[in-house]
Amino acid sequence: MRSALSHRFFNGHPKAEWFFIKISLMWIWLKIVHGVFLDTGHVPYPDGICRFFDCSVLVVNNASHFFYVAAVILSVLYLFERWMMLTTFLMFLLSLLLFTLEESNGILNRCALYTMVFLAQSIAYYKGGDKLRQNRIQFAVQIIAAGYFLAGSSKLIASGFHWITDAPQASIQILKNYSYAYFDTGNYADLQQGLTKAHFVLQHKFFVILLFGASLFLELTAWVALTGKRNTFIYGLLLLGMHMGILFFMDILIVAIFYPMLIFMVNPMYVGYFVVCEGTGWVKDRFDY
Amino acid sequence: MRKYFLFAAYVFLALLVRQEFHPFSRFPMYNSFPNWGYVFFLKNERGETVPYEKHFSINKRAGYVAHTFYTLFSHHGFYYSDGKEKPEHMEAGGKELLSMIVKDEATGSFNFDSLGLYRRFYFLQEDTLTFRDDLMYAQRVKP
Repeated sequence: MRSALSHRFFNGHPKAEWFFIKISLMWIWLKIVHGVFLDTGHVPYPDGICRFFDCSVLVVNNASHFFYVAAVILSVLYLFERWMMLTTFLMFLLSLLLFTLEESNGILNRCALYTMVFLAQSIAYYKGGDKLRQNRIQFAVQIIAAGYFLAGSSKLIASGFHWITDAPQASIQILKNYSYAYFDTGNYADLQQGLTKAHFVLQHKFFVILLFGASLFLELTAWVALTGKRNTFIYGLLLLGMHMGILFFMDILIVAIFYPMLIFMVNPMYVGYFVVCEGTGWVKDRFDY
Repeated sequence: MRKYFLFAAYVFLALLVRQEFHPFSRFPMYNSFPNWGYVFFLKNERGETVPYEKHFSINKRAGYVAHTFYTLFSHHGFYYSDGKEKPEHMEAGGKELLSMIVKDEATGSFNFDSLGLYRRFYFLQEDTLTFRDDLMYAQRVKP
């Protein structure tokens, strides 16, 4: 298996890897786009490009149906790899419009990575050439790593290294997030769970400071993920661990950041496929490496 | 260089833009841990908590209401932090938030007549988690 990893998994970009990226990305993108149409019926607080023109035309008089159909058509074109430079650029434009619209409703779902990933892929297809297979994935990973690096630097800019030493005050944010769940459902167990975890953080301050320090280090060194496919995967696993820790303690999963990272840096469907195929020896006849 | 070009370009542009302007973001989520956190919830005229999920559309949830509170207060130039908002801003913001929450909802089917929007203010006092509830705005919602 070690040989398989070093010779095949971490080398080259087989069709299967790209196939599972495409499926996962379109599945999550369409879910998020669907959520935008549910969330937005008007534009009360114009933001981003919606400051320059009236974005409400996108959601009134059934205009949203047009954009919904456009999103589905573009997804199909993406899956079948038709006119990819144009398709990914249109997906960039559509994401730009829709996610700006969402933010103009006061809802900050942090979808910037999705929008930029499509632009990065459009650039990869524009460049074309022998490295297209690599670039359409690696360019996207560059944007994702930039997002994590920006998140880390944002913490240093806003709080300096107090961000780590103030970590026990995250207990307030933990209780706040579980309170959201309580006031959504009326289920008192949610609030109780929040209290338990918030008290744990207050009682284990050193442990929490270590965890927060490690996560800040990971974000600030996210560029290491760009040094090779092996490091991309290793950083993907480390960031996955970070997200699972945040989900466990704080009841937060920022979907629009987590999934692009998971899809491009870990690609779990491909990992599963690779393990099964390597185990059975079936893969050698099925995919070019 | 090709390995890092888009990384560097996006980081540079996001820092240059200096504010949230989709698709440029500094991803500022939880970039500080102040000694306050807000949650917004509803109570009916009988003093019972009204869970968002049971009575409102999928986009009317505590998390979304909180996001909208911050956007709304920033949009109007109202100060918010540490539970020190001006009462008139709380009332004006509460009125706007509550009207957004009940907008397009089937208010006729509610089993209550009026709703109050409350803000829960969590804070640490000598390492003890505590909170204070403040009524922002209340109004009749049943037609």
